[in-house]
Amino acid sequence: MSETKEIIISTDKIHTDQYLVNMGPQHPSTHGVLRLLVRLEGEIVHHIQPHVGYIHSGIEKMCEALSYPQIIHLTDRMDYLSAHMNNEAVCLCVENALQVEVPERVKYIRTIMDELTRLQSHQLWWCVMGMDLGALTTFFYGLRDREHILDIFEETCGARMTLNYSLPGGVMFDIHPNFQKRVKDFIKEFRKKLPEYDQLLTGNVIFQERTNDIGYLSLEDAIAWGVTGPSGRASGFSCDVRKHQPYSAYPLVDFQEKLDTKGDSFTRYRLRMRRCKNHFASLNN
Amino acid sequence: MTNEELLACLTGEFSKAEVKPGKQYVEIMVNAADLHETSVQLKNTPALSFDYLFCLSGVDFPESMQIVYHLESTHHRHIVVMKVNTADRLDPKVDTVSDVWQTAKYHEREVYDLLGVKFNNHTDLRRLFLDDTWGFPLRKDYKDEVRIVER
Amino acid sequence: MGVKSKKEFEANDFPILAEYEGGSIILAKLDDLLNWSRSNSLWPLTFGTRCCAIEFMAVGASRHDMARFGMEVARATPRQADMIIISGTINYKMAPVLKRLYDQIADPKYVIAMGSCAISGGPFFYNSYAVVRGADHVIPVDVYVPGCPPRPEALLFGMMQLQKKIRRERYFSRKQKKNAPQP
Ligand code: SF4
Repeated sequence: MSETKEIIISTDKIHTDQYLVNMGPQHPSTHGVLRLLVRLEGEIVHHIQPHVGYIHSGIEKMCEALSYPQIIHLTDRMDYLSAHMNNEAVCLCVENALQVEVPERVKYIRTIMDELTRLQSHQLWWCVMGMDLGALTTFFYGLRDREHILDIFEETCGARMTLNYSLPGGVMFDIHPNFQKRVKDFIKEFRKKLPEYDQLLTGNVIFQERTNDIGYLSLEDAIAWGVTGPSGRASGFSCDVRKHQPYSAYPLVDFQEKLDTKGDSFTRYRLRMRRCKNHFASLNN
Repeated sequence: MTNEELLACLTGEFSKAEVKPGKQYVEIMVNAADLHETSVQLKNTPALSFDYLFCLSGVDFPESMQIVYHLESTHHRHIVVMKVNTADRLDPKVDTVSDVWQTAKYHEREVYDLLGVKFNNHTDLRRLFLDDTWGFPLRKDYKDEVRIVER
Repeated sequence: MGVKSKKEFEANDFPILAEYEGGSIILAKLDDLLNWSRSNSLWPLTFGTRCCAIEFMAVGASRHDMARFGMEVARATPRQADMIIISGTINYKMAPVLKRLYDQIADPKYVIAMGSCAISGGPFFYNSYAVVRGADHVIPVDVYVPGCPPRPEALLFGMMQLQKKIRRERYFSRKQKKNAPQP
């Protein structure tokens, strides 16, 4: 008996040292290249020091010597998953400076392309998030559906990812005659699939365990650190540019900004899922 | 607040700074010495409460470097642009605002990395993208004979 | 077994190998076996730095499915991989990392440069101060796949070219050139 007691007392006194782990820049879960210096104690992360710049390519310096239509082709290499929005940002900027008004049709086309781009970006996010947790099925499902959107892009402008579709003053070509039909078909199809995907990953115990209450971010922190997008909105930070400073055809689209307040990873996940549904509302218009 | 109200309010609040209506947003030009004090005031005055710094950029002008802060209030939803000129172009120094808006910590590191503006009192001013031996590439007089073609 | 003259090679093949050709039937068969097994289970390292990496993922997924060629097992550590697909920009900060990863891969190792960034610096060729003009300044490259980003089909073609190259290799039945330096 006495022995057992001793052991219990001694386990209390065990303490582990903190240690430094280098993660990246080549690491499967840093999707892109990010190097983190992590100070750990067991499974608890005490401090993270990020090192960035492994794909710094000096685009700003290049832009000094280029004309505006040429810059467009560099912008979609900045965030390659939302290439069209980057193009559009430059276009809007040039159009604002020149005080050019683009036709209504262009605005609509850009808005629809924006939403499609967002949707494919979310699909990729969803599938790799599952993959990082070991759920390889999501990877195949997500990328399978993403191909449908890429097909639409390819038919419209000839490229799958780096679109270069917007130009200052308009878009490069008109949409393909099939465009409307294909988008509508895709929405119908994907709307059916989404609940299934939702069930597949969301209800999973492992997934819940690893996201619920992990990585808490308060509203104050989110604002102070400028965390925008779905991550910010999961903390209750209303920061949707489409609502607050609407561009293109967004003033005419009826949609809601989804907010949540819990602020952990799981909420961020739910929110992004809901955003997917939201996009359909915008696309239907 | 609308831009006009904001303009009136800022003019009353900051006598030392120069407030003028810009093309899109109200602009406020601050002396380098008052920068930190003004930032704290902009954030903490309840009627203004600019708590969200959404853009921090450096501009290379012929006589000085300019740092531009885009601020938004998440409560009142108004936007102001704060600008500050440094005294010296070759060895520019301004106070940090990273204790007011945390996000400035990394933005200032980036400005330091690419333009060489030093931020006083910054807790962790290291280069962000490039290593220590590089010049400051976004300066207009940056020379790189091998990789950059003069036009 | 064997190549009778250089003329038999197609434009895309490797005529230089013909000069090293020779050896007995048994050794040549052994080589074939080795090449067959090597070329059909090439495991790539997950090394993606930019947009091309997304296309690389698309190649691994359902529609394009590189599992057809025995390459689906993307490894996260270089010690388990056979080849690197350099998908994306290499800049001066990344270059030492790439070199180190390459050094850690066990021989024989192969490299595919995917996308114009890895070939020549691509869209960042002019006036960029940070980008290496082509990954072949850092490590030797076997196959170049042009495009920005290359289509998945193009990458698959590039992989098949690599397999073709591996099948031409001679290990046991290699004949030294007369005046080649002896190891
Ligand atoms: S080649 Fe083009 S698509 Fe590929 S990484 Fe470079 S910029 Fe991106």
